[in-house]
Amino acid sequence: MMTIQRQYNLPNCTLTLEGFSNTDLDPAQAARPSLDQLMQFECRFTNPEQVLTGGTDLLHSLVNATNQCAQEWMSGVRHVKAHRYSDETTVAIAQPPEAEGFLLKVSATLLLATPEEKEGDSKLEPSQSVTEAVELNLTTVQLFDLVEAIDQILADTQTLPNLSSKVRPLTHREAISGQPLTQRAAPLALGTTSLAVAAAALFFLPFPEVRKPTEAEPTSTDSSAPAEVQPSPGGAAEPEPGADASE
Amino acid sequence: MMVIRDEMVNQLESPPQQSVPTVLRDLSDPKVSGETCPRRTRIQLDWMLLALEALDLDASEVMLASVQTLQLQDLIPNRVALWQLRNTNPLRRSSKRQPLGIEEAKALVAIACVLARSQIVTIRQLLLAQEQLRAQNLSPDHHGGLARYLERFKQHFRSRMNPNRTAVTAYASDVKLHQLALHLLGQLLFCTGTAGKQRFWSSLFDGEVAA
Repeated sequence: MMTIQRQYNLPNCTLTLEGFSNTDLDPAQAARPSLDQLMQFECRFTNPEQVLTGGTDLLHSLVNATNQCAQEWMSGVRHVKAHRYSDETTVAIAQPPEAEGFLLKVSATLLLATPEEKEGDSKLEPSQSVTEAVELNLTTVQLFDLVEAIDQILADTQTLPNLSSKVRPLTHREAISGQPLTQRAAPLALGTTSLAVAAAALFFLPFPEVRKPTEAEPTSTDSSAPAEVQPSPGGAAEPEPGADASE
Repeated sequence: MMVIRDEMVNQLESPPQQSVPTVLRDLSDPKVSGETCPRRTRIQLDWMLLALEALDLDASEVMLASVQTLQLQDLIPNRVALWQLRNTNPLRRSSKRQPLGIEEAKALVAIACVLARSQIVTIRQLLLAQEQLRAQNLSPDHHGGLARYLERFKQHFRSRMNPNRTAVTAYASDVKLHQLALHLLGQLLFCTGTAGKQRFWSSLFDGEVAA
């Protein structure tokens, strides 16, 4: 059984996967054998140089974190249960408030010592060893290179075919509105206040005087005036005498 | 005999089933009300195309050419149709409050991604230049390409968007408009990727679809 190594190169980020194929076919003879089982995963950033080494958990966590961060960056809409860094969420990429760029944070539980660290000639300080979480500031282009490298792995049918990531829009319930609650409540508060002020102002206005229609007295004195049909109290004109004939 | 004739009539009366262009098949239909695009979707789509026009002076012609290349003539038959689709952005001066259908929006997404990919080198260079200028606390005027992009975007935005709309007045200052232009530039970069089209399409409906 031979080890398969596969590399995905982007200008700012290189992902290297090492693993084995499930098929009996001799990998040396196959044109491009399928990498089915991941043994080691390495994510190498350039400028500044930083290497993250781990296994399947690191790759899976990076896939989820990059997917969510890219979507959030594109739409500006945050997920209610955003993957913020915690004991359960071991990889998180977030845009720090009032700052440019992105902050990638990876838990030490996912990281393995790199070969350089094992040999003791690591460029990292001892305090930044795998016993502590790694934090990296990424620019937009660096984040894109990471997302693109992972997307290339996901699109590669010969590399971890079972690895997938669903790109779908957030539902109403999953999304947090871009505006804070205070801003969203402002129109409601303004409307309520306006209504209260209007109601208070109208309260002091006098009620309009209701004038009941005076009933016209029958004018029997003037015989030359034309006969008028008096409206009934209900407002409807009396039916013509002939109207009932058909009923 | 009558039955056969009725079937023939039905076949003649029913419109031919429109086939979805190949380039749009990998974009899923979001569960939005009314089968039309929400307001944010229409604004974002138009602004992305506006940013592409600021990047490339010939972008409008390339858009029309890509309609032919992507075989989207059924959805966008001519220049006027493309203009009408972009005018569904409610913030435009010439907005006619027309709805934007899902398939038409998919076509605009496909066009935007093709154009963005053709400009990937320029987009990367401008974003890298912006990072370097920011690190040195310098304004974008110190980079010729970046300054030209921002100036062209400002001109397009000011001439086409309705200044009486609240969402437009938010970009009344040059600083805010530059921030928007740079943000759109970063978003265009993500459109160029392997899953760029799907990511762009999906992001247009974030928070707008039913569960």
